[in-house]
Amino acid sequence: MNAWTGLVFTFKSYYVPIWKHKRTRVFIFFSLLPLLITMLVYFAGISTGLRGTWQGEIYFSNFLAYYLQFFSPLLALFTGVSLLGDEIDDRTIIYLTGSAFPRFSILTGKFLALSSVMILVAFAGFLPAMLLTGMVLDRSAVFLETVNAGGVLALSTLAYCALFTFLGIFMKRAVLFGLLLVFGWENVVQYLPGLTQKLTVNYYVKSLLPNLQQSKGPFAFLMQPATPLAALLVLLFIALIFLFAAGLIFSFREYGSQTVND
Amino acid sequence: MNYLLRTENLSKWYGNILGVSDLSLEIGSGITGLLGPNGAGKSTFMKLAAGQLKPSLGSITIAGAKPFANHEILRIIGFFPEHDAIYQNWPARDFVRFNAGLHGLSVRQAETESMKALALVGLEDVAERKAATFSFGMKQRLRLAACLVHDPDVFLLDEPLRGIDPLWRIRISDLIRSLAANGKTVLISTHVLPELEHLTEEIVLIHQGKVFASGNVHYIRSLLDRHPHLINVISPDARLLAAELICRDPVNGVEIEADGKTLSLRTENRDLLYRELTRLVVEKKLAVEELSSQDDNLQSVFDYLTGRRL
Repeated sequence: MNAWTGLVFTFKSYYVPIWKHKRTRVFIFFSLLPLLITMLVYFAGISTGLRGTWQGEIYFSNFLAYYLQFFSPLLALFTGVSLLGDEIDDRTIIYLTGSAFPRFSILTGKFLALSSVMILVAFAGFLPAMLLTGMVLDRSAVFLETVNAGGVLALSTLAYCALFTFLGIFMKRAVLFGLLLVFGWENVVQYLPGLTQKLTVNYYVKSLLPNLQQSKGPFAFLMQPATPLAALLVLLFIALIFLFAAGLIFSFREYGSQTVND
Repeated sequence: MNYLLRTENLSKWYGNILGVSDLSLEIGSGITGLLGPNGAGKSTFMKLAAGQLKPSLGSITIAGAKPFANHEILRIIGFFPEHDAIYQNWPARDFVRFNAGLHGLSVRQAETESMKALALVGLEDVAERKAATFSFGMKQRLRLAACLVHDPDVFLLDEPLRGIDPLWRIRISDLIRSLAANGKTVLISTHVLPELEHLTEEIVLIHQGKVFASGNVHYIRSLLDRHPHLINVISPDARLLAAELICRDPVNGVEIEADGKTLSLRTENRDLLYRELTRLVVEKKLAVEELSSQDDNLQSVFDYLTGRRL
């Protein structure tokens, strides 16, 4: 059977069920949270005090940090790990591994369905909240900033989804390891100068968004950003390489040995 | 005969635990029963044949090809797994259609074939209902529909009649027979011999991962009949019965339980004992309240054959 047909079939089959999943609804709520806060700031009249001030800049960079350093990795962690994890837990994995399409195409189709839904989930809150925040803070290039940051958010979610899909397939307790990675390694390494910080996804995300880079404070000197083109290419490479590795493991792994009591 | 499924010295271990050991089989079209107690290795064998597991040693082929992760061969296999594996939140029709699509049917084909498959198992009226709302028996029928929707050549059915009500048991048995009549290869596993007796003459007995015996159902039945039986008789005339029976040929031992009413009879010729008992009851006008055989089941046959109990 044709791999492309398998990919398209799997994508179509999972796209709607992923939207209907409880986990997706929870993440939609968390995606909309900053929008609610921004609306509160706007309607409570606090916004005027933030315009053109350093507090306004902090508000804006925290807003971006919420989506790019907190929401996007967490969203990708819980959904990426569950890409096959749910199928294994429910024992429905046998339908995927017993399919007449190459396993690689099945995994890629489901991954693309999942990551596209998750990018849209992130956009659901991010795009309106970003535009509103721009208006609240009276930022001049708000539209351009929204397009730029939206692109980075999509790329970041894609890269993290691939990373956590791989981890979910590769190891047990991937959620725990993923949490340590997101809130431990990815954060701590930012304060280490040199090459180490290049071993995080966050580094390349930050390289694409100057607002996220620390331009003031004691650690300002530590960030040595990559060029935007290099950061873009590396994020795409991360997505591809981890998806490829996940597909490779899935293609040759046995999934029928959960129980031997037969 | 054209054998679709062949195994040669097939073995599978899960770490230190043995799944199947040194199985060499040839299975052709028609129905073959895989019979064995729980833990015998039936499901492991099914998973190996369905391409879900890799052999540790030896080989298994379907239509000449190894099935593990071989999507070309998986197209001709319909696997009904033992576990209640189902997308609970999907409507029944979506689940069957999904399986049709996974086996390469076009959107239109999947649509028509899934409704046909659901009709075959009597679920066409509830096709839009979520699987989570189904009873266990209905879920079994739904999984069977998903297994046959793509019209495979080889059916691997792991305990397909478990939890199904008597009426649908008969209908599904008829359905399985009709698949075999159409030249399909059907391998069906169970630990209940009478279930298989209605379906096939060809049985493979499997125990502790090994083929214990294989062949005609009558041969398997004779193994069952020849092993020592323990028969319980509850009678108010238990002592009289015991006295009469102890001098008769088929009886090897008699024991009267503490209640004074229950007799435990040991025999190696169950049928003869039943005949003698009936004649005695009629001749001596004795009352019998209950007659039961404790070990008229597969496990006791295996225990006997493996020498665990004599």
